[in-house]
Amino acid sequence: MISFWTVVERALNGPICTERDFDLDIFVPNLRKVVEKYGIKYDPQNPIPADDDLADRVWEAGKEFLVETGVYCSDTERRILFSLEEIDGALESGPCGRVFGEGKDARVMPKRTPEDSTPPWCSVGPTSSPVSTEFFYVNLVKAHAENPLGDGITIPCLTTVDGQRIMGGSPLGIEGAIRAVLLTREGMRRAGRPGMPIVNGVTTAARAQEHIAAHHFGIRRTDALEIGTIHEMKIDFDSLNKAAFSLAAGNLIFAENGVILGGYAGGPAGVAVVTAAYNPVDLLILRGAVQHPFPTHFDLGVTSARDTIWARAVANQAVTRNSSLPVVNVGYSASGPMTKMLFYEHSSWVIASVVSGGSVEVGASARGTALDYTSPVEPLFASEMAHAVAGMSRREANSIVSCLLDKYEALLREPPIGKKYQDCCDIVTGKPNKDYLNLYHEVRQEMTDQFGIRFTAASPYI
Amino acid sequence: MSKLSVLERLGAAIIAGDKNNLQKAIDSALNEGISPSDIIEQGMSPGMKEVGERFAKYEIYLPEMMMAAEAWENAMKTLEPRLLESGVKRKKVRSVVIGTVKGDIHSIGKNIVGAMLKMNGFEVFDLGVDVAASAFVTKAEEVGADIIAASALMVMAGRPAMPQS
Repeated sequence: MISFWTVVERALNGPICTERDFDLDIFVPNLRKVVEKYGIKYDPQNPIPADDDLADRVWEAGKEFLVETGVYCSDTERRILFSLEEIDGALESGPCGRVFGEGKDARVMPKRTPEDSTPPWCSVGPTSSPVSTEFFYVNLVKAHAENPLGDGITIPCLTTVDGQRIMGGSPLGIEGAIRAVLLTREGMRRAGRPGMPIVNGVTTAARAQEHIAAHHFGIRRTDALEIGTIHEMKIDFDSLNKAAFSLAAGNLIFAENGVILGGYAGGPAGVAVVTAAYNPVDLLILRGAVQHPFPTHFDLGVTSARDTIWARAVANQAVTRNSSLPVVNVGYSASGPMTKMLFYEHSSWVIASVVSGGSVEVGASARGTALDYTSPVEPLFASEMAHAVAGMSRREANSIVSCLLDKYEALLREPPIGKKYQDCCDIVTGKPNKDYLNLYHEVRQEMTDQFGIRFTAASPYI
Repeated sequence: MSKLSVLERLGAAIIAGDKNNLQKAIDSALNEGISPSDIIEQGMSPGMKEVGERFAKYEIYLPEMMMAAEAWENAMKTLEPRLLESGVKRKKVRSVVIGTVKGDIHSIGKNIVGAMLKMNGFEVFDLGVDVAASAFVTKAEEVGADIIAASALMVMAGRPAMPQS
């Protein structure tokens, strides 16, 4: 694989282009061309297609699109271009069997394929959802770390430091990032999982300097820093700086890309192709150990809509059939904690991800933006679902997800907000209240009765 | 060519986001004596409305809206001087200053909202990304804006900047 510094050189010296011209004269026409050439068509009746030929065409379309388009560096207004040979070279030398975490909490990241019975990796946590106090933060981390199916932890987003709202890029951002890591380590220690990896380091950090600061206060080499591209097919110095530091420090990287359905990638077909194209980008530019996609609906702000589920399923199949870089899907659901809808939403995108060859990060509620609308219960349930459907056929999964969509998709625009953490869980012990536990058991039984899904007995709530 | 078919060509060019064909249609319309005001209100505006409606139904997405908006803005460079010459006053449109706040570099949401505002007849001044609070105010004062629209995606970077903006 070409070196990171070759990539940097291209960011500094590649062909010049304005951002507008990149978006409308290069990205959009190239994407439309490959979608048509490879016959990629969205099928709303089948949110989880079982079509290996479609998956492979999406993959080829993604590679061709990447060669023709490149990646735009917004700080230099230049395109970083790659040849097909360089892309294939990166795919051949991609990471395999990376170990995250330490000691008894160390876990190997599995490489899965569609309908694979290998248990998926499950990152558990609020997926960067914002919380209002350090007290909630630690207790939430502890509760998630107590999930025996959790392989890694995704940390919340601390929003204040000593009562002052954190502003990224400011000294508060530095302090916020440092505290987030220290609080996370304490939460995991209290759960008896001190070696569990943080996989979305560092949520509270908006800028590279904040990541670097947090690194000195507890981010380990077996944790993962989360570094992302910018919509779409763009990068900037801040992301490259994070990558440069991570490489020097020996950190693992979760390379994230959230293609916007309705943005420059257009509809589901374009989203699937761009998501696939990001896989080699995550290797070549972000030097990821994992691709971390979350195709998101521009209007509904979720990954649980029918069209985003389709795009994710197809892209997962394309990537996991053809690439060495594993995929850990992250999800954003519309509804809030302690609603049946949240259980259904998480189930839908998790099932689609796992049977299509991916692993999962569970998961954000209330679109991941409402302060304190997060809890450990639905992510626990979603991790149980992920394990339960490993090895399921795509056809069976398609039937289940179609039924689940019927239960909630009409409500995505105005979903139930549910309850805040402090209103549905004991804020001292972190345990869900009695009504919440009853709801959890009720939905679990519903999944078994209606779909034949068998859950493990590993839950701490049994 | 009948007035109706010229007006249809104007609308179709807007829907297609085709600057060149729109300019040709404008030239034809002017040659046939159709007023700049009618070109805008009866030809181009229905096209913009159609684009907005198709976007609301998820039949088209951001690229089509941006290209339609660009075609419109390009056309107005030809038409606005002629409107001034003719002394016709267009009905006052609301103006919006839009940008992504300081500390945030995400633009898609802003671009979508900006395009929708243009579809609906607003005059939009787009300041780009990572925009300081003072820049919003300065531009708003300069153009007499009715609305300031501040966009933020990043919880840490952007949202704390919003109250300040």
